[in-house]
Amino acid sequence: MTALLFVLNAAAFAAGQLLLKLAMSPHLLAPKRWPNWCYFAGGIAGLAVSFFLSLGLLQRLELSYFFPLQGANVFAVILGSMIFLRERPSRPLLVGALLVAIGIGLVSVSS
Amino acid sequence: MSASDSKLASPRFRRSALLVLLSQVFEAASEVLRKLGADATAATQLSVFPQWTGLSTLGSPWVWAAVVAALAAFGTWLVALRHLDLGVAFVLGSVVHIFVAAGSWLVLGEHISPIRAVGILFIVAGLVVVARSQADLETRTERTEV
Repeated sequence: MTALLFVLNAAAFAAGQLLLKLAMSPHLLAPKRWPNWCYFAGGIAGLAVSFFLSLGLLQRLELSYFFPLQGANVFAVILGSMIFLRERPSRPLLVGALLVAIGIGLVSVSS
Repeated sequence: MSASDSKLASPRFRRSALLVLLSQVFEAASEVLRKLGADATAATQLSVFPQWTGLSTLGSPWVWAAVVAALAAFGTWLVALRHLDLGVAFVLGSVVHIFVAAGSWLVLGEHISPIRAVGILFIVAGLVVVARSQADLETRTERTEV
């Protein structure tokens, strides 16, 4: 259950960030399916869902354990950017993501 | 002294960097307050919502204090960004992981094992690399636009 909530939290955070990016960069979507404010509202909603899910997770996990794991949100945003925004990750970005992954692995086994 | 050195030594940069650090102190305080609120409401079932939604925590004043601290962090961050590159700000902002670990230990009494500390340092290093690559990308984009 905790792992599922963690994945949902990362997905809601990434969706919120991507929708806000689309709201602030209207040229990325041509033609646009919905008005700009829909993307903005969706972005805020995604971040709000992430906020409350993280509070639910904090009821189960230590802060010094949960907060570093939120670095995994970087992966969700990178993945979403590649799939939905057609962005290509640079080599430094992948190196940074690898370091974050190692760090998350170490924090995970420290529980 | 090179141009970049003089930029780093300028009073405006130092002031902005201090504002970034202050915003991360507020952010870390917000996280600690959220944890206090989550702990305070973990055992109670006053809400009609399932516990996993996190909505039951709204009954805790700690969570509302956390929201105030988060707003303070956001406001301070925006002021700092007026005179600081986004990439540089993100690199400096990675220090929040250290502040949160320190807050967890000092305020919440959590044990930070050596392996967890090393993991946090890896995450900070990774975020710094990501932020620097983003800063380089922004610099190249600005040069192209000029």
